[in-house]
Amino acid sequence: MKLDPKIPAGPLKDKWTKAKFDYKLVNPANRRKYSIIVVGSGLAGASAAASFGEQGYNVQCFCYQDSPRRAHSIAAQGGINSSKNYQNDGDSIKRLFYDTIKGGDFRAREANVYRLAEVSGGIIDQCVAQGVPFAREYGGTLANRSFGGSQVSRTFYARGQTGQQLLLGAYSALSRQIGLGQVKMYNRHEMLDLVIVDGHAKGIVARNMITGAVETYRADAVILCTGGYGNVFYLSTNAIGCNVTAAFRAYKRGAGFANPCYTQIHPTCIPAHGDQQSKLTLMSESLRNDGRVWAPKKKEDCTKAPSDIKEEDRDYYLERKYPSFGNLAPRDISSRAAKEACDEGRGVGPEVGGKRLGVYLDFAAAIQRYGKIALREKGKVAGETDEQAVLRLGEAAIAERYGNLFDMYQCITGENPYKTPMRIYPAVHYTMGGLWVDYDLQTNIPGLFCAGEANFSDHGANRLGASALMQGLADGYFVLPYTVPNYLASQKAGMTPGGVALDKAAGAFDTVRADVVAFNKRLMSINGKTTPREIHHKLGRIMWEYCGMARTKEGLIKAIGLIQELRKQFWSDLKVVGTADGLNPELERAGRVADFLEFGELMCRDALVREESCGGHFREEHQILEGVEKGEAKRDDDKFFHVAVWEYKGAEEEPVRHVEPLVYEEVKLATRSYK
Amino acid sequence: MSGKNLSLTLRVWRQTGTTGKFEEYKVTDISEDSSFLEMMDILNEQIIKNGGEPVAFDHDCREGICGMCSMTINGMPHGPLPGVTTCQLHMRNFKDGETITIEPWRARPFPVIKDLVVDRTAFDKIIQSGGFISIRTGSAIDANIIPIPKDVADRAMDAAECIGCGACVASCKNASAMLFVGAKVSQLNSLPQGKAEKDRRTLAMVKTMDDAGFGSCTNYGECQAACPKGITLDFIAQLNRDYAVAKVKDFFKSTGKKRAGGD
Amino acid sequence: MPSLVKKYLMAITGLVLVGFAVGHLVGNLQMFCAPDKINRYAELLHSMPPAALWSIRGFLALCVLVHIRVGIMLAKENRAARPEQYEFKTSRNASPASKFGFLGNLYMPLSGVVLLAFIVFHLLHFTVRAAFTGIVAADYDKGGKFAATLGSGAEAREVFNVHAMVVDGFSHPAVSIFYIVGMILLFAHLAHGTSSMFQSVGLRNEKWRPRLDLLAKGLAVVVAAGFIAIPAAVLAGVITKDGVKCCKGCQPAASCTIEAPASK
Repeated sequence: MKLDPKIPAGPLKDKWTKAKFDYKLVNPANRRKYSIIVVGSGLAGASAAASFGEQGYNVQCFCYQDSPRRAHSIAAQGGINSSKNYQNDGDSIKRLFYDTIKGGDFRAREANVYRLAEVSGGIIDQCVAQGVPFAREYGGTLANRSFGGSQVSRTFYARGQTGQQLLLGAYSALSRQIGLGQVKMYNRHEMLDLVIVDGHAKGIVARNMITGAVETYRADAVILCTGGYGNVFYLSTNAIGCNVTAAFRAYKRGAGFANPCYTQIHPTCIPAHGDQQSKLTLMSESLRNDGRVWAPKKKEDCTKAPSDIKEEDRDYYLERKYPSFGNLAPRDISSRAAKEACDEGRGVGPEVGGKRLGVYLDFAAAIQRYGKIALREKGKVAGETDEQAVLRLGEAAIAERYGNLFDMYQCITGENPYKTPMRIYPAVHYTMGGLWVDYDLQTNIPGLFCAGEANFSDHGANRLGASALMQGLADGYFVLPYTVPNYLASQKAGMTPGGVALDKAAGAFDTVRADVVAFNKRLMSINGKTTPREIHHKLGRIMWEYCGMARTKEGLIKAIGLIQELRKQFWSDLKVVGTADGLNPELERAGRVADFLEFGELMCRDALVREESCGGHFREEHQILEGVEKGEAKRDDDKFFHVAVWEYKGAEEEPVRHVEPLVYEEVKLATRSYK
Repeated sequence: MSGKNLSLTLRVWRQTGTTGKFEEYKVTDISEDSSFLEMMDILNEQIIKNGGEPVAFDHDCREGICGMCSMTINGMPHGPLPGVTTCQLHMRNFKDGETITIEPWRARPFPVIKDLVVDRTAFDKIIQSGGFISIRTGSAIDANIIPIPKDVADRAMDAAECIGCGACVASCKNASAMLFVGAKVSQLNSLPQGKAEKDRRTLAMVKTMDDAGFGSCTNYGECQAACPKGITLDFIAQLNRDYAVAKVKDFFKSTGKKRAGGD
Repeated sequence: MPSLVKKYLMAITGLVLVGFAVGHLVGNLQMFCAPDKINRYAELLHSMPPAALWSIRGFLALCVLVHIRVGIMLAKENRAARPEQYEFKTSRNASPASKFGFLGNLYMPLSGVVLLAFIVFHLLHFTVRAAFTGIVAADYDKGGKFAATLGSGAEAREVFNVHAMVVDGFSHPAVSIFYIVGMILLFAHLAHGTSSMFQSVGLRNEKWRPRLDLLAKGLAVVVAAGFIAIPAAVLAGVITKDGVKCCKGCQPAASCTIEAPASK
């Protein structure tokens, strides 16, 4: 497998400018002769499809939802980073670049990240022009907040719905192009395979989820913006439909899959209530600004009501372990600490699978603190004691800050978080790994591009808060519109590299289509007893147990064995009801689970080989054993300062691991420390 | 977290093709902490085990923001709890032994595809006809050049919270889409960036809405009560106002130039 | 015609008709004065140039027709927008639609249709004075047996006795009850319509909606109660051909306290 990152020569800050100048262009009159397939309509997909439409290309855009507006980018809450430095607090392109590289634990590619920081300003301009109602100051200028422990205020936000507003902005641009006929939108279509002709990606096979028709679609280039694979864990904060199928089937057709083991676990999610749980809900990280995280010191206290646990019996473990960052310790660190407490048998909440998986996030101290301040300012009302007034005013102050989150918590759990501490537990949230791409966001298959969460390029081993939205839009609005035409300029419009008109090139398309039809038929004809959901649920438990927050060599080896067994069960005992020629959610899920079953194994393999701890990948064998940093992740830059790229070698064959060495020209490697 | 379990009778609309009917199912052992859609998952697993075909329903994010879930529960779109979507409705809001009737959204522009799944592309078409600000990627001016008063930005945000689920149409006795259209029109028409094509947008979106076959607004406010995101009738009023202005301007507008081929 | 234009037409014609109803009520309430008062008022109205009178009548008729025609169009479209009804529909809003259950869907159209029937009857009754209504116009007109005399001395003249006609017209309980029912529906129609028309032209918001709703209901109560008061008072014997009696058996008030007709 040839892995040329194609990083332009020259100083880091000039690379993108140079690349843009060096890229070949397509004459406006010729653009209408080219067609581009965009799979996915989230931030990356919608923005790319809209931008190509505006440039004059014919675009076909696919999404599995009933409307492009529903892609899961919509669920992002916090905000979007940009190096605008509107706050005059020391931000710059270079600082955003450095923070992202450091946050990624020095496992991302320098040039890509620098470009991301460079174009981040344009994203905000673009979104505001589209009518995205970002929060504003009274003077009418844009407001910012500090997010995820960042030392500058660079995060732009639209209440707690930034992802929704950005996606609706991109969706409106996309809709405009659909209305103009530049983009043909295929709702409720799921990409099931990639078609490669003469070594170049020239089309896809997709299933119409309403009629069940499996059809081929042809284009001069294919772009995958199909999101992350967090649902391999069954329970995650991803939407139910999120899947790895498009990326994984591209991998099976020869695309390299990079760093699949990098998963981000978010510390503040609402714990699972039991086996009926189908997905997890994230609570904004901002809650940790005022909440204190604790678990009971004694196991026997775990079943007690939190109010019955004495102050001296509570373990505020983040404050104890990380005195300077305390409750604001980074995501991966807080997540692991919660897991440790629960693994020691000190978890709280309902027992799920024999364990209590939850810790408290307590606002009592904050209510008292704010209440006392407010009492001095506002005084009490008649007939009220001081304590009552403090409680009332303190709760009001908390409601003002986090009211909507508290309501959401109460709606889901039925508990009143003003009166009893919230229960939280980490959950899978984002996946940094993805299809390998070069500087142009092109995979190792010419003509196949990959953007957004689906690629691996910008976040290294860990993603900073408010950077996912930035990356999706950067790729779609400002990177792909330059790099894809550069590829197209090397291709004859509507022709295969071999010189056959695309719409006449039946062979490759028919073969792949037949493969897909046969695959679905195979799924439908097993006629066993286990439903796709049950197998998915089992897979999720294996992944979470052995390839979740903390991983060990033994665990990963065991997991690979268990997954292989489960895969056998899947292919011998699966039950898919209904028919293939119509709306059939069971068939859809079966296909996705089939891919997760192979992909999960790949993740474990990647985690197994990476004998170090970095960012979202924590190997218990690789932690600091002594000193103040005891228990922290131990990176091994000598052996693993590279991108791991997996090549598919066939069913039941072991995949081959390739390496793209990372080259840092600007940044010096350092150890992350939050003590 | 209560740990109690419920047994329920479900009357679910089953439809393939153009006609459908209710079927009755019993489910047991439903945790009060489960969401309504988790209860539907359990129902479906049960139907599959019994050799039947599961109930098709739309759902995706399951955290109340994507707008895909769409069930009329006991005659109320998104169920009895105000301000939440079906996916955020939890079973503790129902009583043990209760019979729950589940129907799809019902409106001519939202034809049923299967069971509880309806086709809402009419909403997409409305947006495609004008629910945007025409700005090319890369041609935007700096974001802080045009100051937007905070209250204007906040109002636009109030309107922009719409998730496009269609509960407004489903709840309206006339299956009117005025709340949806009003919200989008108000968001864009309120912002300085959206003023340039305000009239054009308003006229085009209303026309597409009418052509799709939605009913018209009777100003009762049932949509507002059903909206999981708290969109208010204010935005319908703004749509009415903006449309009136646009229509009058359009009526008196002259092309301002004589052209060779007449008009 | 765009749906919104239809709503504007409903609002504007509605506004005209509400205005007319209020004016009409103010005129009619003179029934509670001495008979001369309303007869003088009727004389004034009839002395308008026919062109003006018929212009106003034509305009009102046009408003009624447009209101009805567009209303029918809307009702049809609204019905077509949901070909398959919910089996189970619950309203979660305290709107008229919810209070009247399944009738809610027909709330405005139904009250409108009955009102139309009422208007037709009312015109036949007191304007056309069709024979079947029991009113013989000639009896009340100049030279008729019930004709009224206005003024005294040289200015004395016989005029149409509206007062007597109304009292006679409402002396049939069935007729009066129909009027009362019609006016209850007028209340229902106005209670929603008067506030709704502000919304239809975009002049309402959530802050003012409760206020306008209250105002609309208040206006509807006043209008309906005012109109109901007349047939009710006739049935109760409070209004007689001689004028208003405060109680059974007492003498009718000789003159209206607002304006003494015979003072000149």
